[in-house]
Amino acid sequence: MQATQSVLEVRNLSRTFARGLVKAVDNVDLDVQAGEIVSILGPSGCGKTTMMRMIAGLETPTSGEIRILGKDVVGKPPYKRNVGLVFQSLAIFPHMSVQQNIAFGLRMQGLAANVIEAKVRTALDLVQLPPQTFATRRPGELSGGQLQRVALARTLVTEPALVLFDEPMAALDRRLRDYMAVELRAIQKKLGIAAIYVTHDQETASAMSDRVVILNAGKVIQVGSPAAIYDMPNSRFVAEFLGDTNVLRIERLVDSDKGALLALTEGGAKIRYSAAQGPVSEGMYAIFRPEQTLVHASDPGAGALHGTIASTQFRSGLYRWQIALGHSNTIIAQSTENRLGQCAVGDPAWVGVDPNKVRFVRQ
Amino acid sequence: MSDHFAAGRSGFEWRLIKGLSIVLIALFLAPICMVLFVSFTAGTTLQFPPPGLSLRWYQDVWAMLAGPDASIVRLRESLLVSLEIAALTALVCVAVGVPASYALVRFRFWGRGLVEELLGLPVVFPAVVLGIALLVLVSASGIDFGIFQIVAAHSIIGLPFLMRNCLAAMRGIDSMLEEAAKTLGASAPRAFFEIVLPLASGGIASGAILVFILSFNEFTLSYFLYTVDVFPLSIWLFQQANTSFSPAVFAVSSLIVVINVAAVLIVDAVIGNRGSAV
Amino acid sequence: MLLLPAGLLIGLLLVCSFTVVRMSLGERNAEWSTWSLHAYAQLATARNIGIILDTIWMALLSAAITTIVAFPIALFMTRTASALARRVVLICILLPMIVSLLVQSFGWMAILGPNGLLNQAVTAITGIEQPLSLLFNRTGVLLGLVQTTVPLAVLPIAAALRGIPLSLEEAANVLGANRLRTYRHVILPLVWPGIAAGAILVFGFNTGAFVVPLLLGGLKVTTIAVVIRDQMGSLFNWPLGAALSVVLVLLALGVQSLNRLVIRTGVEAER
Repeated sequence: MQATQSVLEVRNLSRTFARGLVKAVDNVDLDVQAGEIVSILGPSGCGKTTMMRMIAGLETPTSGEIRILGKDVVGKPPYKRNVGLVFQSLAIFPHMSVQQNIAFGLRMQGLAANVIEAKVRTALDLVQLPPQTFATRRPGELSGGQLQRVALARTLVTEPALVLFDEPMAALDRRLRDYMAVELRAIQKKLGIAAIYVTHDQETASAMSDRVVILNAGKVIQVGSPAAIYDMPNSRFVAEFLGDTNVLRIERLVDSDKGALLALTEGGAKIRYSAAQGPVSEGMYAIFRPEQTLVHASDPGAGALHGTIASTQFRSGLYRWQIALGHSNTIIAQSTENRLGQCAVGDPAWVGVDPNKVRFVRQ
Repeated sequence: MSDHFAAGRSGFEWRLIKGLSIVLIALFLAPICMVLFVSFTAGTTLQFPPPGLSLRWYQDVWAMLAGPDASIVRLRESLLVSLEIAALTALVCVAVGVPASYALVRFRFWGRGLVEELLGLPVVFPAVVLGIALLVLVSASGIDFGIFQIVAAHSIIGLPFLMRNCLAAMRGIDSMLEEAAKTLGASAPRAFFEIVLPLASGGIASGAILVFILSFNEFTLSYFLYTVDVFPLSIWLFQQANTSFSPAVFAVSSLIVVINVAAVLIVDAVIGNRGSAV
Repeated sequence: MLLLPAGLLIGLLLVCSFTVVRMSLGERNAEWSTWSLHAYAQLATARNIGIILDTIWMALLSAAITTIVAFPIALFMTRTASALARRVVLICILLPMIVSLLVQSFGWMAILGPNGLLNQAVTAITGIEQPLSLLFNRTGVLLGLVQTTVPLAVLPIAAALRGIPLSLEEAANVLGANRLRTYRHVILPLVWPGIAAGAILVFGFNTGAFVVPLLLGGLKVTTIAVVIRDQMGSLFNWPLGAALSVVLVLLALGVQSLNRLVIRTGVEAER
């Protein structure tokens, strides 16, 4: 046995609908260690919710294994799995007070009334809802953020081995969501529980998790830390899903006269690359982010991409330009200073790219 | 109220609609009001206008219910039997309709559409046919079912009314709530009793009251299925009307109206302004 | 499993249906042991066809009248700004349907009877003795049929009216339609499914009418249901009564499928 046993081990998990025609989850592996938050990130319909519902026992897998603390749980009902789930709709019981909501799971465990009361108080303190004010409140009297906390307390109080979050903060506005994300992370680290956070919002996923699993069309596309995935996407899909990205298809490889390796892309751009960046071939894509570019109003040399300014934008402290290369390709460039201040739309511009930051991917 | 119609709707049109509505509603309520009014007559016939107002027929009814002749007139017996039948019918409909509603709301299964059709069948099924067929079956079986032959008949026609209210209430319950209960350690039956039943209780209660009053007032089925021992109030009234049409019949009818109106008001209060009472 | 108890009740209803069908296919006084179409041959006689057509005619007439009188009430209910008024109207139109039909028949007798409120009033004004005969004939039965089924028509029409935003009417007005034209070209076409649904419901309900014709029709107005009672009860012609019952059930089922059709087309029209 290894020293640190995985809290959750998922192997070859699949779920098909419509007699096998639709693969909602397709042969997925996943591990979650103690004290770790793993985000499952993907567009809507990528299978992340189905996957989470299978782990919770609300849906039956077509094939595959799910082990929690080493024990196979496939076929076991939700209440025998030791898994907590915070729902997207929060699912606060409307006919119960805050106290009764949080006590529900403990009541199902058959605990004594005084034990339940003490645990409910601790849980309310943990999520920073003072018990004397909130215990007797009804769900209808609470704000969105407070309901959020009640749902969290209700799940945590039963001390599950694994907590699943199904985009519980999707309904909150950006600021409250960021605040709750920080707080949720702090509580999780304090309790040392293992958690899965399912979301389509990459910012929340990055902010809260130790590892991110990118899911698309039921398949795991990439796994890694938030920073690693952002910097080193393994595909166009991942790069584009995590933020604005420039993607240029490579049409031809040329050896320049000075011995450098050059990739000729659609739109006529030449990108230098080194053998260290892995094998590069025709039909692959060159990927780089707007913040990895530098625009110029005049040709800086050094193989900068040449185009014309299509639009200029100023947004939360950043200048952004769309530079049209040829007919159909546009590059997004970004800077903290207005480097094209003297230029107008239609004027020529040059975009320099740090060749070491360019990623080459097959798809 | 009127500024709502400032845009294009003339005052005359609105007054016409309002006036027509009031006149029509008054017409529809006229027989009920008339029953109430006549029951206070001081005369011995239904003549109009009444010679005076009095409570004498209510005293008469009270004597029929509690006086020494109560066992001969059998009003008390009929009232009790009707209440018993109505209560049992409501009970049967709840016991039968609540699980069926839950199955229809939560589960997809083969033949679901057919089941829904069948459950709606009693609404359109002619009561006369049901009553006669049951009568034939009961007499062919040779068994004395007591009050249960009427309870069974009333339950069949009451079931759709209970289920309509129950289904509406259960459809409004997010299935996530049950799933939440399950992930918190509740078994499926436990989740039903802790979450679904309390949240649907308003709809179930209003449905049950409706069924109760439906059974209490029901005439056609009772007419075919009553026996000398099981003699519901509606049959008692019918018989009285055919033999001695005294204002006492109107006093009893007024009491029934009061019970009916109270039930409607309770249902209205329970389900609020949704407008799906029937 | 959960449907089992409901299945028992509905099963009993189905057994009843089969019983009736079987009885209709037997000879008089030997309904269970013989097979015969005699009852259906009897059904085809002028008298029985007359009764069936008469019942359908009364139901049609009551459906038409009910729908017409339901319209202004539904309009009032949806357009009034006062929630209280809406609620009071709803209760007021529900009462005639819920309150015991027997009790209401007594009320009608007191109003329409030979010495009832109406005749007394007319006599007092005009001096003519017993000028109006409203009870124990078609008029009385129709009045009763209409009065006890108003909510069946009002509720679907009101639901359809609720779906019409006031801005549509305003648009029609701005475009030059007067109120009558707005009703004809905007409101009526849009509430048509509701009107049809209400009319069908009333029609279906009244084809099986028993209590109202029994009490308000005297012995002069005979609907199918009343004749079934006579055939089964006093005349002991069970096969004929059963055959009439089969006709009544088929009518009810026909009305139900018509209703489903209207609802479906209504739903499709919404899209």
